[in-house]
Amino acid sequence: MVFAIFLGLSYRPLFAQDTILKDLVESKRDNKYCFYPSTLRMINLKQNQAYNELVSGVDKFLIYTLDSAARSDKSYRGISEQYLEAGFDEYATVFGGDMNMSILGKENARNQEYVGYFDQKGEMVVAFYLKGNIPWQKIPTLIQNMNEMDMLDLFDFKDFTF
Amino acid sequence: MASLATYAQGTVVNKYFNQLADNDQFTKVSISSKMFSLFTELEAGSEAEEEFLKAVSKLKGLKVIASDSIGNAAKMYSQALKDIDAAGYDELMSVKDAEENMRFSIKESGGKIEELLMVVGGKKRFVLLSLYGEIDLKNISKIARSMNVGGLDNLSKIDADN
Repeated sequence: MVFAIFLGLSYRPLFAQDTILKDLVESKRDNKYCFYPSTLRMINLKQNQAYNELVSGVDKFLIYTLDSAARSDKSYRGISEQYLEAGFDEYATVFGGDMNMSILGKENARNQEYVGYFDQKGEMVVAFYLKGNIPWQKIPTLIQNMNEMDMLDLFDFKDFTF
Repeated sequence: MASLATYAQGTVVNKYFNQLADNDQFTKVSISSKMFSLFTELEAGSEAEEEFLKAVSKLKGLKVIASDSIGNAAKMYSQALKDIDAAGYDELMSVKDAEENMRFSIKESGGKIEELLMVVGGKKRFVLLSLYGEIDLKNISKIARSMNVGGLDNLSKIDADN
């Protein structure tokens, strides 16, 4: 019995922790994009081999654009708080100016999870969750490739100054 | 000893982060070593670029607190200088003009700069920036330019003097 409880508790972190994000934003979204290795390869019209290899490690990549209600009540800011409680590390945070963002991650040898949001002047808020075997250092390449495919313009952020 | 040194890093900026956590007049930025590690994936096109990327990869973090619309900016600037002196930082350079004052301070350990602090105080503008890790003054102005943080460009004057 104790062993079963222990197994249950220890196995829990292995489940995708996208439920926290879903609970926070699913009902307050305009659009939702779900990418898996197959769909990520599908958008690679130029058949860039390096990109295909990169996305083969992705389990899922969820992107939400949030609606006016979420942009107004700023409930998405709870993402960082709740994921920190779930054991994620804070990679970057900008808070209080025209651009607010938070990026968090949780990594081990076989699996990585990244989550966060970008808020540009309240005009557009994007929340994301990425899980798979994809090293943190490869994320910019993934985003750059997706932007070059002109499929999504969601991560094309302007510079911000202080 | 190492843990003591690490603990001492960021004492001043962390104090202001905590004090102003809920104050929406201030933008708070926190960048971890994870973000700087992204530079390690970039390919250097020249020896100078390679030196720059190497310098960036040794940074451990950046924290900024900034506001350009507060009435007591001058008072905050004076208080920050007192806090910095009390925390044992050494002055590196001061810049004074009609619009605003600026001071750069460092904390050294074992002949290496492990934290650079920049404080800016204007009529309504206050900035406190802490850059920590292993800081190479030769490349610091290039790093400053790439970060697009106003005021840090003054560090090019240090390059010219060294």
